[in-house]
This record gives sequence, C-alpha cells and structure tokens, in this order.
Amino acid sequence: MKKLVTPFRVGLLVIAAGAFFVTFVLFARKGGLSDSESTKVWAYFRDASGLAVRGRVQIAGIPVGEIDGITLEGTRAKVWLKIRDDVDLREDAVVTKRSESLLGDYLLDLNPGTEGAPSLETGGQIRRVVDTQGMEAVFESLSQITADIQEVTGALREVLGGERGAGSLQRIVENLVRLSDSVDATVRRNADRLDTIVGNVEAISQDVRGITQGNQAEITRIIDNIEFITRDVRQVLGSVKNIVGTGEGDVKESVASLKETLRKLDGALGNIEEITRKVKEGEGAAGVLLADEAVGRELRETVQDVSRFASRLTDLQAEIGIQSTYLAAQGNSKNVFSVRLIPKPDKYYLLELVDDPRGSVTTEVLQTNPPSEGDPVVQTRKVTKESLKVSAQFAKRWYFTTLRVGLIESTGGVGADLHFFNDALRFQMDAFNFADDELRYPRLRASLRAQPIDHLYLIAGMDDMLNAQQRDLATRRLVAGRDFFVGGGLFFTDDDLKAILTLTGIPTP
Amino acid sequence: MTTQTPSKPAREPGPFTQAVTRFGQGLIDIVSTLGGIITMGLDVFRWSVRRPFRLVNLFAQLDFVGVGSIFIVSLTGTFTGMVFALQTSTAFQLFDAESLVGPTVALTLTRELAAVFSALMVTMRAGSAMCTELGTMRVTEQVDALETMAVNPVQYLLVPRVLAGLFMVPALTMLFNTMGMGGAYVVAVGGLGISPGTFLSRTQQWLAPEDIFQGLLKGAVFGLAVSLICCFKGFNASGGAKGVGQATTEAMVASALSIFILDFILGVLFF
Repeated sequence: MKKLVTPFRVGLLVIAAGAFFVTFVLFARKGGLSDSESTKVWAYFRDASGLAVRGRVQIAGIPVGEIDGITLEGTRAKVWLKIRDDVDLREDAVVTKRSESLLGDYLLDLNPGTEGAPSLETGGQIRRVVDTQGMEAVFESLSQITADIQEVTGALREVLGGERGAGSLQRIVENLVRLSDSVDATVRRNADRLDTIVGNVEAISQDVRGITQGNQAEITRIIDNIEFITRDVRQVLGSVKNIVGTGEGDVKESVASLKETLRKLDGALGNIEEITRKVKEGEGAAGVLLADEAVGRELRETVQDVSRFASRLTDLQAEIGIQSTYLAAQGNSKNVFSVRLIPKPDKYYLLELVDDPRGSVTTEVLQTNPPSEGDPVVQTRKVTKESLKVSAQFAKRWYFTTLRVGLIESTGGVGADLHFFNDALRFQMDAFNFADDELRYPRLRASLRAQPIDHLYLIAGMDDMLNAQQRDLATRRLVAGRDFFVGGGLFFTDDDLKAILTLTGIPTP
Repeated sequence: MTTQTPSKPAREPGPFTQAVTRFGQGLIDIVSTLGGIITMGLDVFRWSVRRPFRLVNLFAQLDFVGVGSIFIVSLTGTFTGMVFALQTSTAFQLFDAESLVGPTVALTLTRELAAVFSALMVTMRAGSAMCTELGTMRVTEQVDALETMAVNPVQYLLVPRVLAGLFMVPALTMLFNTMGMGGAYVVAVGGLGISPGTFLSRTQQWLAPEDIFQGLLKGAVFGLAVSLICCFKGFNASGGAKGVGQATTEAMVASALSIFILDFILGVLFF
C-alpha cells in the first residue's frame, strides 16, 4: 500500500501543476490577437516613448487591438499594430497616442476612418498620427507659456530697467499725481453743479422707471406693434411697387382699377354688415341659431348625441352564422340562422331563427256549445306545427365565462358558455322552456363546440337532457325528451362580408 | 671545532600574507567545490540513465521534495501575492493606475518570485534534510557499506534526490504562481475594490506564455542547483556530527546564494 500511495501523491502534484500551467498559458494566450483574426498595419511615430509591445489600441475606450512591434527606422519609430478584423479600417484612419495615467502608461486611440475612403489592407500604413497627447502635450504647453512669460518680462525689463526707465517711471508717477490733484480741484469747484446734475438725472430715471413699471405690458405691445407695422409697411410697399409698376400709364390704370375694386368691395362689405346685424339681432334662421342661447345649447346636445350614436354604430360589429345539426333520435336535422350584434368585446346580442323538427306544440281548448252527446263540453287539443322559433338573448362575458338571458327558441331561458383555448373550444349550457306543463323538467341542452379553423365550427351535445322521450302518436315525431345531436356551422363577421361583397359585387335588380 | 648555528624558527606570515592566503584558499575552495559539484552532476546524469532504475527511491524523493513542500509553498505563495498586491496598489493609487496591480503581480510572480521562493522553500525544508541525511550516512560509513555491497552510492542515493529537485521545483513554482495570483486577486478585488474585470483583463493583456515558461525554466535550474549543492555537501561531509552540521550550514548558504546568482544570470539571458 505504501508503494502505491507515494507515486499517487506525486502524480497528483504533477497533474495539479500541469493543470495550473495549461490554464495560465491559455489565459495568457487569450490576451493577444492571432494573425488570422487581425489586420496588421503600421504607423510612424516621432516619439514612441511609453508605448510597449502588447499595449492597447482602442476605439471609444474599447480595446480593438494591440501593439505588435516597435522598430527604429531612421529617426522615427515604426509601430506595428494588430487590429481586430471586424474593425473597418480606412486609409484616412487616425491613431493618437494618449497617456493613460501619470505614470507614462500610454495607449493608442484609433479612429478607423470614414466610409468613403478606400479600405486599409494588411501591411498598410496609417498616415495620420497624433503623438503629442496627454502629459507630454501639457508639459509642452507649459513650456510655451513659460517662454511667453519670459519674453514679456524681458520686454518690461528693457523698457523699465536702467536709469532711463527709472526716469520714465518717475515722470509717469508725477503726471498721475498732478492729474489726480487737478481732478480733485475741479470736483471741489463744481460740487454744487454736480449735485444738481446728479439730482436731475436721478429724477429723470425715477420718472422713466415709473412709466415703465406700470406699463410694461403696454410697452411690450407697442414695440411688437411697431415691429408688425414696419413689416406690414415693407410688404405693402413691395406689393404696391409690383402692382403699380413704373410707367405713368400703368399708374393711372392701376388707380382706376383700384377705385372700381374698392367700390365693389364697399358694396360687398355693406351686404355683410347687413347680414351680421340681422344675425346679431336674432333675425332669420341663422340669427336664431347663432343668437339664441337655448337653441345653441340644444344644438350642441343634439350634435353630441349624434356623435355618440355614430360612435356606437361604428364600434358595433355583426356576425352572421348558420348552424345545422343532425338529431339522432329525431332522425332529422335542425337548422339555425343567427345574427350576433357585438357593441363591445364583452357584450353581445344574439338573434336566432330556429327550424326545429320538434315543432311547436300549442294547446287549444274547444268548448262544444251546445254540448253534443257523448263528448265533453270542454276538449283540449294539442297541435304540433312546424314553425320557426325565435331566440333573442343578451350576453355578457367575464373572463372565460359568458352568461346569456332572454328568449330561447320562443321561450324564456338562460344560458352559460365556458370558453377554453383562446375561444377555440366552448362548452355551452342552455335552460329554457320552464313553463311547459307537459314537461316534467325544463329543457336543458349541453353542447361542446370546437372551432378548428376560422369561420367553421363543429358541435355535438345532448338536448333536453332531463326529460324522457315523448313521441307524437301519429307521426312518431319526437316532441320531448333527450336527444343527441352532432353538426357544424359557419359564421362570418361584417368585415368578412364587406370583403366578400367587394369581391363579388352587390346584385342589382 | 665546529659550531652549529641553531635553525631559525619559521617566521610567522604577516597579516597581508595571511589575508592573501585566506583569499586564495577560499577561491581555491570555491572553484574546487564548483568543480566537485559539476563532476558530481555529470556522474548523476551518467548514472541516471543506467540500469537499474531505482523507481522506489525516486518516488520516495519526489514525494519528500514535492508533495511534502505543498503546504509551505502554498502558504508562502498566497501571502506573497497578497502582500505584493497590497503594496503595489498603494503605490499605484498615487498615480491613478490601480489597473496595473494585476499585471505587476502576475509578471513578478511568474518571472521571478515564484521560482525563487519555491526553490528557497525546498532548500530550507528538503535540501537541509538531504544534506544531513547524506552527511550522517557518510560519517557513519553507510556509504562505504553500500560500496562494499557493490551498490553505487551515486545511483542509489544521489540520482533520486537530484531528479526530485529538478522536477519538483517547477511543479511547486506553478503551484506558487496559482496561489499567489489567488491571494493577489482576493486583496485587490475583495479588499481594495479594484474591479474583477479590470484585474483579469489587464493581467491577460500583459501576461504572456513566455513569462510562465521563463519562470518554470528558472525553477528547474534552481531545483537542480539546490539538490546538487546539498547532495555534494552532505556526500562529502567529514568530522563526525559537527562536520555534518557544518556541511548543512554551508549547503544552505551556498544554495541560497546560488539561487540569487543564477536568477540574475538567467534574468539577463532571458531579458
């Protein structure tokens, strides 16, 4: 066991060290760009200090390459750059040397160039190089400023230095002293006058301030008006010049035409004045319409009502459908024509015409008068007729449930629908015919409706689930009781109908 | 009658002569030691490729030198990386260049510190043990006994130790690199708030595979030198227990010096 443990431990150490080594090498390799995934270009720098191999090249702060090599060519540094292939380098590209920190750690900022310029291929040269950025540029500027200051101080020294300069300075100071004395004396002599002048100026400024403070809005309006007036005058003068022209004959004709136009205009204005006066006084239909406040209010309400009505009409959607089902026990088919009016997505009105083979049963009471012998005085007769039934229901939807109430197949009833799979599947329950004395229970109908494609659905279910079957003795027609049915239907929205009518055209008599 | 003049007693050499003598003797010792180490190294190489290959001995030494040094090298590496990151970040903050902490630590560790520190740790822990063990065997004539039994002591004793030094120090250098970078990352990112992305990306930018190769090569050279020196000193120890202790001390000093001198020479060659 000992013999096994020692090599195992050594092997573990070697494996761990090898793994660390491979990881480090892979990590370090990823830092560089390979030749296959980069474009190699070069640029001349006057000063490449601070640049190093593998130094960053970036665009907008994002690394896009690295410095591949730096060689000396003559008195310039030739710097080779590896730029990522996805950077679209152009011949007018610009590379700028910029310091990253005060340590002199430099990087290169790359402007890849404009789209219109030719592409820069591998081995190409970036001709635009800015290599005096950062602290170097700052120091250069400081050096220039220092030189300027030295120049100024030198000139001052030349002007003011020595005996001659000292004499000049002394004379300047003496002149300044005399000047200040003179000003002082003048002010003293005219102190009263100056006080008066200052007082007058103060009074004037107070007046002006009083005017402007109270009438700032008016003054602003006056200035605006003056501006408008000058603009209008300029336009009018331009128009007059165009209309009148330059010749004397043209002027006369223009003036005569203008007089005539003015006369007509005067008449037209008179008519308008007459009309507006009548309107103002409430004369005539227009006057009453505009001048009577009550009429105006009524008119506004009417317009609002019309607008609401029109809005409802435009929001209203209609759906027309037909359904045919085969009744298993009856051995006949039942057809339904329906119109669904949908004013809102969660509300609709359902109108149906139903052709039901069960027909409608009416009870007639016959009274024999005078009663014949052997027959009852009052007889009851049931008549089963094939007649269309009518349904008219109001429906309201909450989430996946719709409740209906109204007339179902010419009797009062209620219904409920459960919608599944984005309305592709619908479970439908109807309860109606509550008042029929012949039926033990109300007529209850359950159906499952599946809509595999638009406008077409399949339906199956059971009618009159609770009651036992009853047949007409003469015709064997099923008049009550449970019956299975299966069938299908089609429906179209008003949009579909519009499209169909647009394509086929409306038949004209 | 003949008179005999008494022979003059030998004159004591002067201080200058003594200094020159000591210097010369020291120089001769150094050159002799160097020559002895090289000769022994050639012997080791020669015997390492000849049968019988004593793998049990070899693995025992690999285990002793390499596996036994894992803990101390890991600990040293972690704290070296941590303290280096701490100190460099303090300096770089003055220049708003904290992003250079990662590359600085990485380059310093991979190129220099990992190999040097790993070799020093191996010298202190395993080299001293090698020297003492061999010296004791020498002064107790166990080496002679091996020769008597026709077992070549170079092949039996020295080859496994030298090969262990040669192979295990680079492995420990790699371990040192990893632990050091881990420690630097913890301090720089966790303690000093340098962003992890910046630390890793800038390290990746500046660290090249050549730096790692360079460190590993240095580790191998240091391992070879240290094991040869320790084996040589122990193998040639004399003078009983005192001689063994002196040989061990000399081996430690010579090993440490050789590591730094070789580091400089290799650094100049690689740079």
